[in-house]
Amino acid sequence: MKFQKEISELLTAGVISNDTADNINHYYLQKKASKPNWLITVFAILGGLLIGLGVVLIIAHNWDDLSKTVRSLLAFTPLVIGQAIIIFVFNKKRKNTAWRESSTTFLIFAIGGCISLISQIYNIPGNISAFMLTWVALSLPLIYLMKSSLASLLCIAGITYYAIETGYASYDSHESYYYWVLLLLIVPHYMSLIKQNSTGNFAIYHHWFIPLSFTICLGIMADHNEELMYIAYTSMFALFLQIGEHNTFKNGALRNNGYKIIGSLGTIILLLTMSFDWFWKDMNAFENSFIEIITSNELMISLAFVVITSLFAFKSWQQTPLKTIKPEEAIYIIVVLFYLIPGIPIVLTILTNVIVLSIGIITIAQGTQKRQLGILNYGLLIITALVICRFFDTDLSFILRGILFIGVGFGFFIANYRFLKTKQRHEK
Amino acid sequence: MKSNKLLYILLVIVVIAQLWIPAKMILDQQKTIDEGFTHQFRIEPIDPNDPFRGKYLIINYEDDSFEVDTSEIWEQKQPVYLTFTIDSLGFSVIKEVLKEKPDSITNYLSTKINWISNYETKELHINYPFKRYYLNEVKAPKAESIYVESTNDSTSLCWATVIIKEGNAVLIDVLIDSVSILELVK
Repeated sequence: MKFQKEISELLTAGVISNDTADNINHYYLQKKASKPNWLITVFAILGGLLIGLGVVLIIAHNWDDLSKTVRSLLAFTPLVIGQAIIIFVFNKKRKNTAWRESSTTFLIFAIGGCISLISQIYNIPGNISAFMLTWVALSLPLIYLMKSSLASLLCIAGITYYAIETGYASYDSHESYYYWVLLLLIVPHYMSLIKQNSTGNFAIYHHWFIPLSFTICLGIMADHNEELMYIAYTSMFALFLQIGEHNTFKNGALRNNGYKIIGSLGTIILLLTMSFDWFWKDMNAFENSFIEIITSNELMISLAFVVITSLFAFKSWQQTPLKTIKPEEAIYIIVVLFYLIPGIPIVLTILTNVIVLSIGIITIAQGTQKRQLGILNYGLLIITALVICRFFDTDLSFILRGILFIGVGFGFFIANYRFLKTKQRHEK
Repeated sequence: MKSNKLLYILLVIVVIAQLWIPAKMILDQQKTIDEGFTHQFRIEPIDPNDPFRGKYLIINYEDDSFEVDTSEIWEQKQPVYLTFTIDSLGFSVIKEVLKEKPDSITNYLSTKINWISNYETKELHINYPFKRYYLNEVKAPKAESIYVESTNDSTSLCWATVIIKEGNAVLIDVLIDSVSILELVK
């Protein structure tokens, strides 16, 4: 290993003694031995997934040469085998992660395969959302019985697909409320994952899956007052940012913090959408009655998110210095005010543009201060995105737009050059 | 140990539930086939570009709308119950569309309104649940061309045999001039 080469070098140079070299070797060998062999777990899971997918692929094959009884028995076979393996693992191999995860994965796909095959054999009418709901409902208990995180991830994916089918693809969206119930049932497992090891691989995947699922599915609450959903979305993204700043994520890499990335990107994308003048003109034309608004799902979900986010914000801002608070965390308050206080569309449009520009500038400043090139460039990207948006909806001449782009481009180069020069000077 | 026993009991319950659900699907279908009423629904000509999705035929039915009084209030996706009568050619056509489940009969279909047209008259367009007919993927292309040709040939009589009981329906066969499509593709 690499460090052994370094140890030999240090020994030769007389920096460390033989005893110290032995102690270091011994320490690293012990550390390696206590780590679970993740390669076996990964291959076992892949094996389980491939076998499971093979079972699901069988739904593409129709066996009309066999009798219905034989076909039904064959349809049940993978399910029964999967259940037998699960019972074996439960009794004998419960502490083995590879066994638990791969057997649960296989069983989950066997459940889906069985239901699909039976539907085909008997020409049972039904829609994809009912199928997904049944599949997830039968798979969900396995998360807790087998302590399987892969089952949890598959269930999150399943209920997200279910919510898309019922909430977006059909006219009657009331069935999509099951999504929230099912997600709530998965949360305790996620909490226990965080408690055990918040930086482990499965926890990290959950840190992405859950906020992504929320982001995709929040829109199912929209009905006749979808204009109010912007409040729900900005509050939700602000909540993600708050969660992303929690101690759980303090020592991890940014790429493992799905909440922070989705929260920030989501907020910027929403603000850029709101920076167009047509947005506030359409808002101004919003004419639903007071009773309709007050009893709408959209208002209830928006209020719920505003309250939850505010409670989180109140708790975290008490302990945080003001200058380290990200402006995106407070955007939802401004959006709520814009909705509550009637304003002239052009004024609100300009204010939104100023807010986006300010966030860009503050992000650049924070990047410079923390000496992080990624944050600095993110700030520059925000400003560039704003300029591109204005390119499409203003009546500025091509020359002026060209000058703006050149200006931003130069800004990119100069900011990065100065940053790198300063960094090199400090390192010297 | 106690918690271990409880977990084991829960595991057994889950395993039974996972076996029970698909088994119940079969039992319900079989009950409908054994005790239900046989209907023959005429199939309407289809757009030849895509009658086949995946490994099943999409069946469109001729009698899939019902005129109602313009004063009646109906909603899209509203659950409804259909009763049928036989026309002069022996095919089943919609007799009534009810908002409540009928008490005295078992020969009714449970479904939803697809959409409502409001031109000169008010018509409820019905979403029949038995629109898919699964076929062997090897025989599918031949079945597709026979199906398209026959449904667009006005001299050809095409229909689907469906068994209905207490709201449930089972699509048994698709026939072209009294011959099963499965026979025609052999």
